[in-house]
Amino acid sequence: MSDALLDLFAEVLEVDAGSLKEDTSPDNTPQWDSLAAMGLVAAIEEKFNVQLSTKEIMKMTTIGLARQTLSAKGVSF
Amino acid sequence: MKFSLEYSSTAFFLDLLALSLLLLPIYLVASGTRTRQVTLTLSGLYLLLFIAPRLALLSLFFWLLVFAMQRLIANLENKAQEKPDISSLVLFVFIAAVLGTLTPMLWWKTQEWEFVKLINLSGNSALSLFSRTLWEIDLARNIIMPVGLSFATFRAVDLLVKTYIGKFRAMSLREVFYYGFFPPVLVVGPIIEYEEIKEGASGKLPAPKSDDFLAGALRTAWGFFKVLFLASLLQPSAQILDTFNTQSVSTIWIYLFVYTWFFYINFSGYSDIAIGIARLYGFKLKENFNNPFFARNIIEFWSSWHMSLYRFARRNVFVPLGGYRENRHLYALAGTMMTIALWHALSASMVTFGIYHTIGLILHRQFTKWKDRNNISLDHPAAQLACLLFTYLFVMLSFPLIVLPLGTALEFYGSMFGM
Amino acid sequence: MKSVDHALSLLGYKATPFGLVRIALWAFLFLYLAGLALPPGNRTIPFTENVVGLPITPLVTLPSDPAFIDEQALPTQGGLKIAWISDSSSVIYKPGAKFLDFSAMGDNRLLPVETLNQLREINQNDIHIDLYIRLSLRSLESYTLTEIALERNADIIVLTLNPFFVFNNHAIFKGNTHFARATRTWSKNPAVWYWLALLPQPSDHLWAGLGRHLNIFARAPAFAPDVHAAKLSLWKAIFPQIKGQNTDKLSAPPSGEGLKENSMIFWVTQRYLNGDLSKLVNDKNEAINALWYRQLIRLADFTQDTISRAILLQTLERIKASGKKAILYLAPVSENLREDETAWKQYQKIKSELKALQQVYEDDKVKLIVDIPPDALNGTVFVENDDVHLNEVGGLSSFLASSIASLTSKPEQKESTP
Repeated sequence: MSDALLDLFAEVLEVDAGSLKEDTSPDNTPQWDSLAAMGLVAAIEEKFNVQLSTKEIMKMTTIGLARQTLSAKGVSF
Repeated sequence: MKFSLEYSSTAFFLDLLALSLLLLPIYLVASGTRTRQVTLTLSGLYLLLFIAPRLALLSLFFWLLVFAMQRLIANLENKAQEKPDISSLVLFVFIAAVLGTLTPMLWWKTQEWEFVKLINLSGNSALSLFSRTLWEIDLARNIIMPVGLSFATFRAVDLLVKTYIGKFRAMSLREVFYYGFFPPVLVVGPIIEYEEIKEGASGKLPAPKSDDFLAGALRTAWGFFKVLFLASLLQPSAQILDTFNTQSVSTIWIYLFVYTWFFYINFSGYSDIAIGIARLYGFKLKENFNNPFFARNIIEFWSSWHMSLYRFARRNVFVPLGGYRENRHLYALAGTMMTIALWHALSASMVTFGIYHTIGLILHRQFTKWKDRNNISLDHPAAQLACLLFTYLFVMLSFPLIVLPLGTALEFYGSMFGM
Repeated sequence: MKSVDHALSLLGYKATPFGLVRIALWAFLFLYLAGLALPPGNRTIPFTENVVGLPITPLVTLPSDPAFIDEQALPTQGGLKIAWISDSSSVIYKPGAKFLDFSAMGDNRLLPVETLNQLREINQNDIHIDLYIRLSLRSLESYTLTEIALERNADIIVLTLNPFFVFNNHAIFKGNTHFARATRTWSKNPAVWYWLALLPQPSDHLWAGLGRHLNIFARAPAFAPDVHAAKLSLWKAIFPQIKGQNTDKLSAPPSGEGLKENSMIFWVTQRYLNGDLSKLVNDKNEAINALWYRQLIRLADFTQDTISRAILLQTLERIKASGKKAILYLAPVSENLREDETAWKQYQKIKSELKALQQVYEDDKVKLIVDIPPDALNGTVFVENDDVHLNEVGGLSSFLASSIASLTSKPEQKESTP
């Protein structure tokens, strides 16, 4: 399974898109935790053309939750 | 009887195990979520009575306030969905609630004796309103330290934050107390999240299967072995903290080395017991340690040492401070490290500890960037080993700051380097 | 070690309910056999050196030992058996001796020994004393010891009531090591069952249960000092020695800082003295016993349903129900207590409370001695700056001896005059 969001995470976190799942989180993915994740928010905002509030970013603790949050803002994947 | 500012967590876990002989059958038979939650809550409260009834009463009061604040935030948050113009009011209420939750802990950490006096005297007096017997028994209990307060505070803050960002609806008193008094994590953590103990996909709390029970029992036994045997064997290394002035440089280094292991084995042993006992009931709590002394860099160390605290700080400090944005990243990193450091104690030495590790993390980032730019690989086993030893050394050197006041810690460093 | 799961899956072991039962049975068998192999071990019983060559058996263990009582001590055969249950007020201290230093107790004399000598002088010879003395023994432990003494078939119980603690709810027990033993004893008295849920910890119940059926749990505590010593010597064999080792912190004299951690000093100073510790200590910051005890006696609570009263009443009830003879006496205090008017008044009140109980409980078998006649205290010397501990026993021992003698002779008198 591959879609725009997974591709984006794979690119930013520098991992293989195939290894990402909906429940991928910083707790189970060391790459999300390190230097790479620094550009995560900017990349999402740029790619999907949205502005994310702190609250929304805090909600995105897994890829699945990031998808939910973005969907709520009208993004389709 | 001596009042104690320290509390033996071993006694608590032995009590919990003993009580589990009675509790587990009840838990298994009563399959309803409510009954199970209430059973665990009451047993947590009952165990607190043996530390001191006043502590049980104060904890009830604390979690009652958390319940009220959680409900308020959840309801306001709901309204803000329809009327976005009140969102700044919600933010204000949320921040006030978090500060209120943090107040007892901060008070304790800044004015220890004053706070201890206040809660013990007022807690004891308040008890007399409820039960003469409990009040009298309270007089005979000698623990004056607010056992578990730091852990409870962060559990509560986590709940409020998640409510504010819309992850939790308004919760019932039963649910909040269940989270507040979940027995295995009451005295030495880990700082669990509500998600770790909530109903599974089936809508029910977990029931232990045979292999959960076996794994839980083995894990608990392993924890006790670490705490009662391994750690107590290494415990004499703590002498160095009092006597370093008169020791040779090599003795100080050897003792400090052993002391770091004592500290780790002891602390992680308690986590093993907590996680093991929770497993007896079928709960799979998240890990709290993952071989931190074999980390190959400082970020790996921090994501494998007291992981529940680290995860808390990442969720509730690093991310909101803008850790995922390039321009705010370092700022968020420093905030995270300071939170972790100051949670232990609000002291000059813990501030130094926080700064030391922040610098370590920043240097590691810079080094990683430089390494990547120049295509340098550290994959060779020898390089990996060097990284491991270097990381360990870096961490070990920060330990005196955890356990000594700043002035003494500086003298300790002087003695370590023969000055 | 989250690898527990991993290890189990590597072993290919799949737990089943039946498998768990099997593991539990094997574990039980192993512990049972290990318990048989474990020798009884040598318990340290305080006051043993004070009674060498006398028909006196000290029974109470060190405060750190959860056994509480030396169960291996053999019961007396024949003669009159006195169970002497008391605290430091039954120690006759050598001038300058430390009150709580167990290791130096051999230098001091004991009131029961002096009393035994007096009994021999009045031709009461075939007497054995079970000695239940522990320093800082409080009322709850006295109650437990009373039950144990009755279990061990004492003929006469002699029990000291310490005026400073008898109605003090702040100090009903000292330390919690006695609970594992107490649990077993209390369960025989339905009137105190609610204590079982509130005072001993769940682990005390577990320990009591295991200790009853598995030797290893009963015997292991006796080896705690050996295990500790072995660990230290292992440490010494591996690691370089620390120079100028710290002296044992426990034996350090109490400092002002340490004092406020004493639970009773905490309540007294914070609740009754506005936090002023200086009212209890000398210029070296050591607590002065007399000043300190005079504060303690203020804590006596005469309300009807207090726990301290419940403990006292249960002690009396159980003695009464057993039909055994008993002397409960209020330990004498120094006249110096009059210096503190409030404390003295409180002391008088304690006496009148006890006299009210005397009305209810005293008969020809049970004596509750509240007032020791002044001439019985001729030559009795109290420790300096202390209202309850003794340096010289004076006439107290002969008074107690004649009280005991009168109890033992009474039934015969009655039989001879029908």
